[in-house]
Amino acid sequence: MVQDRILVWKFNRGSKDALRRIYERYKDDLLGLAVMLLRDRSLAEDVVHSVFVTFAQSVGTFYLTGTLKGYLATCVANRARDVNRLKRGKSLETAVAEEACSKQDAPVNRAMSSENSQRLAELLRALVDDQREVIILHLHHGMRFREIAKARNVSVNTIQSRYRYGLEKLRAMLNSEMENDIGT
Amino acid sequence: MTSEHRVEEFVRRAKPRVTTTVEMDKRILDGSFAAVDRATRRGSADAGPNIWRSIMKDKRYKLAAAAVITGAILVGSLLLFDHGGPRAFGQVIEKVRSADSVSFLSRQKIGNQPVLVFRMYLQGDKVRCDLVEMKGQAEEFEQSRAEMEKGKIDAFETFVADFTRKQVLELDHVRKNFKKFELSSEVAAAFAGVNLLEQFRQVKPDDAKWIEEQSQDGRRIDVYLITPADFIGIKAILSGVEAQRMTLWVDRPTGLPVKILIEASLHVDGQRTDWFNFSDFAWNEPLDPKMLELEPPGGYTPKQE
Repeated sequence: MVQDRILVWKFNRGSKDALRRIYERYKDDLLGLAVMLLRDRSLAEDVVHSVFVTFAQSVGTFYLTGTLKGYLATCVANRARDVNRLKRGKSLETAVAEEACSKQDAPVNRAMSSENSQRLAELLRALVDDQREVIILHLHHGMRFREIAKARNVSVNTIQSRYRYGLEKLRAMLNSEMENDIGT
Repeated sequence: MTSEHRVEEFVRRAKPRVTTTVEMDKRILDGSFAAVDRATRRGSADAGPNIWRSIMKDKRYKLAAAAVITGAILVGSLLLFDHGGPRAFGQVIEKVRSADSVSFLSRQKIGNQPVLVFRMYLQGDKVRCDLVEMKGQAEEFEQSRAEMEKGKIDAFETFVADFTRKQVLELDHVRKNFKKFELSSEVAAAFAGVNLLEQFRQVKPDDAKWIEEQSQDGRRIDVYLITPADFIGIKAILSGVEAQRMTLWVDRPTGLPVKILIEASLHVDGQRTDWFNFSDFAWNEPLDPKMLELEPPGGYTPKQE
């Protein structure tokens, strides 16, 4: 935390080395978050790129209120949400075609090494954006509900509700999978 | 799989291990560095990076800055009066100059930041700030506040700085951990480089007005209003200052300040009207040397980054 604040202070003084260290510190986590939210390695890289360039533009004026990791993760989640909205806005035909390509190239498979990760990604797709986001930010990135609520400008109760409903859906899907396995 | 806990465990364990590629790193860093260059060029056309602006946005340095400002006010304001104020303050100046220590309660509001309330202790080149409240961030401090209400802690955080040794100790009383770090030469020089006394000397005597006599708890208090252009060099600290004034309450029997209010109309991040309020002064009361030590109390562990 203090290390981050010092890095931010140096960054605000124009230190590119500080910016590099911030990037090195959080790049993998942020890329992982983007991959989970977008299920597309290429788009995820673009999102992380966009977040860092925007962050870099704030040099001299950036003001950190919470944690740096939380701030950057929230930025990635915001961008990912925008990208997902754009994807949904495309015609069904385009989306289907892209989905087919996505499966062929399976870029996400390369990004996610373990079977469980891929399985989780599949399950998370069934959730609405808000629920998926809060679950990933909380369980994968250690953000507190309060922190997420502040970033989303909603109440803590709202965030906790999204989390509970999302988790309940995951639980139902996992139970259903288990029953199917037993049935076969 | 029935419990919520197990689902949470599954999600945690399934966190993907994703790593960036060299190409991606290069693309992002190149883009980011170019953005820094653009922003710096644009910024230098306006005001340029302002070390004080950065410092005042950093809580730790802000507390120390407030202490330095306050120390200068205490001495400088009395010098001002010595040059033609309505009362003879020669003896008072000497008292303040020869003071071994002072403690007081400080409240400050800068821009859209929360109101900081802290107890401050000054002795020589050492400063201790106990952060006791951050109004406006109630949720973030919920746990800490609960601990304080139970009497388990006296402050959320403590910041002890030795400006001669350029060393700082930060204590988190809620988590019982500590962090030591060095003040960079740049920051230490920034603190030392604000010659506030010199700025005070440039203030005209007419800027100080005796306003009235008040009675507080049976004590006679003289109230003064000072409205110079930049009486504590605050322009060097906060950009965009448009107007400022200081009200000073002086205890007549002791001749020492008991309360200081600084109001400044500023322009920081689009917000205006900021203030520093210093009260509950205690002069020359012996400070426990341990309070200003750069060593953590027993039971505190190094903060994990």
